[in-house]
Amino acid sequence: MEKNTNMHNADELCLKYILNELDPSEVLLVEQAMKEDENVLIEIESLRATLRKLDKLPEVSPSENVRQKILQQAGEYAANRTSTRFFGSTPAGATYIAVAAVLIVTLSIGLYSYNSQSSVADAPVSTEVSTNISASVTGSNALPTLTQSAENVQPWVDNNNVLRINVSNNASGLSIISPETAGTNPSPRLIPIERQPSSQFGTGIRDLQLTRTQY
Amino acid sequence: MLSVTNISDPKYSGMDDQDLVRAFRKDGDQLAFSELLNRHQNKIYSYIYSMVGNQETANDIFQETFTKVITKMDDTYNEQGKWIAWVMRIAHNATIDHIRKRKRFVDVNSSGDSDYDFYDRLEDDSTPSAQDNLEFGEAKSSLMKHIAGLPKEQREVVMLRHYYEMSFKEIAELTGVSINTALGRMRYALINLRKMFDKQNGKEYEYAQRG
Repeated sequence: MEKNTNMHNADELCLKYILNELDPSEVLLVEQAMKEDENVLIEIESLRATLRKLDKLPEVSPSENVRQKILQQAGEYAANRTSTRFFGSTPAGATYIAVAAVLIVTLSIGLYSYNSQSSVADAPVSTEVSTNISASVTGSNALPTLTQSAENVQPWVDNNNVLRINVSNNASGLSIISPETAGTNPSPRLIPIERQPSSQFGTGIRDLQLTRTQY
Repeated sequence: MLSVTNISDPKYSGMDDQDLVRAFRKDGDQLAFSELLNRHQNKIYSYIYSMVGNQETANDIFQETFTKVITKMDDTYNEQGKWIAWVMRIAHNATIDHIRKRKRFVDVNSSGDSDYDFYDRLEDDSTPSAQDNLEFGEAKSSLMKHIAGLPKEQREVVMLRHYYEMSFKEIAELTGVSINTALGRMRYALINLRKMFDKQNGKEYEYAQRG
C-alpha cells in the first residue's frame, strides 16, 4: 500500500515536472531521480512525447454565420444600452434612480410645507395693520374703541399665540403696549414700551383681537 | 450595422483584453468586441467542439456562450479577473449543461434497457464525422479522434490545459475538483492517449510491412 502511494506520488511528480508545475526544490528532486532511476527517465520522456503530440491539435473556427450573429447581437446590445444608459439600464441603476426620485419628492414636499408654515406664522405680525384707534377715554377704567378703516377685513386668530395689547394713558397720550411682540417683529403701529404696573391703571390690561387688512 | 471582418484593426490589436472589454462596456465600441472575438474564438470553439464532437452543436453552444457574455458582462464580470477565464467558465458550463441534457435524454430513452451503456453511445456521438475528417486532414483528425475517445473528465482537463494553458489550480476550480484529482485526470489522459498512439503506430507499421 505504501509502495503504491509512493508510486502514485512519483507519477504525479513526473507529470508536474513535464507541465512545469513544480517548485525549484522539487525539480531538483525529480532530476536527481531521473539520473538515478532509468525507469523514471523513460516515464518522463514518454509522457513528454505524448504531450508534444497535442501541440498538433487543430484550432477550429466557428462558422461565419454564427460569428456574424454574435457581432450583430453585440451591436444591438451596445446601441440599446447607450440609449437607455441615462435612465439606468441595469436593475441597480434603476433602483438608484427610483430612490433618488423618492428623495427629491419627499424633500420638495417637506420644503413646501415648511415654507407654508413659516409664512402663516410671520404674516400677522409683519403685516401692516391699518388700524386707526380712536378712543375717547374718560377715565382709567374706560375701554378704548377701535375703528377699522380698511374695506376688506378678515378676522385673523392665532390660537397658539394670542396677542395681548395693553392700552394705557400716559403723558404722551394713547399708546398700545404689545409685550409679546416687543423685540421680535415690532410693527410701526404697535409701539413697544416698558410695561407698567397694572395697579396704576386699574384694569389697564385687555385682551384684544386684531384684524388684518387684505391688499 | 457594423461591418465585420476577421482582420484586426492595428489600434485594437495593440490593446489588451481588459482595455477592449472596458471600451465595449463603457463606450459600446463594437470593434473592441470584434477584436476580443477574433482573438479568442478559435480556442473557445475548439474546446467546445472537442467536448461535443459535432460542429452544429458546437456552433449552438458557442453562440449561447457569447449571448451570455454580451448580456451578463455588465452585471457579473469583475474587471479584476481575466476576461477569458470568465468566458471559459461560461463556455465550460454551457458545454457541461449540454452533455448532461443529452445524457438525461438518452437515459429516458434507454430506460428499461439494462445493458445500455451511456458512455458508449456518447463517445459514438462525439466521434468526428467523415465530413470533419476531411476538414482537418488525416493526422489532425486522428488526433481529434483519440481525444474524442477519452472520457469526458480527462478530455476537459487536456483541452483546458492545451488551449488555455490553465494552471491545475484554475482547472480544478473550473471543474469543481481538487488539484490532485485534476492532475490525476491529466495523467490518465496522457497514458490513454499514449496507448492509442501506440496502437495506431502498430497498425501503421503492420500496413507498411504488408505493403
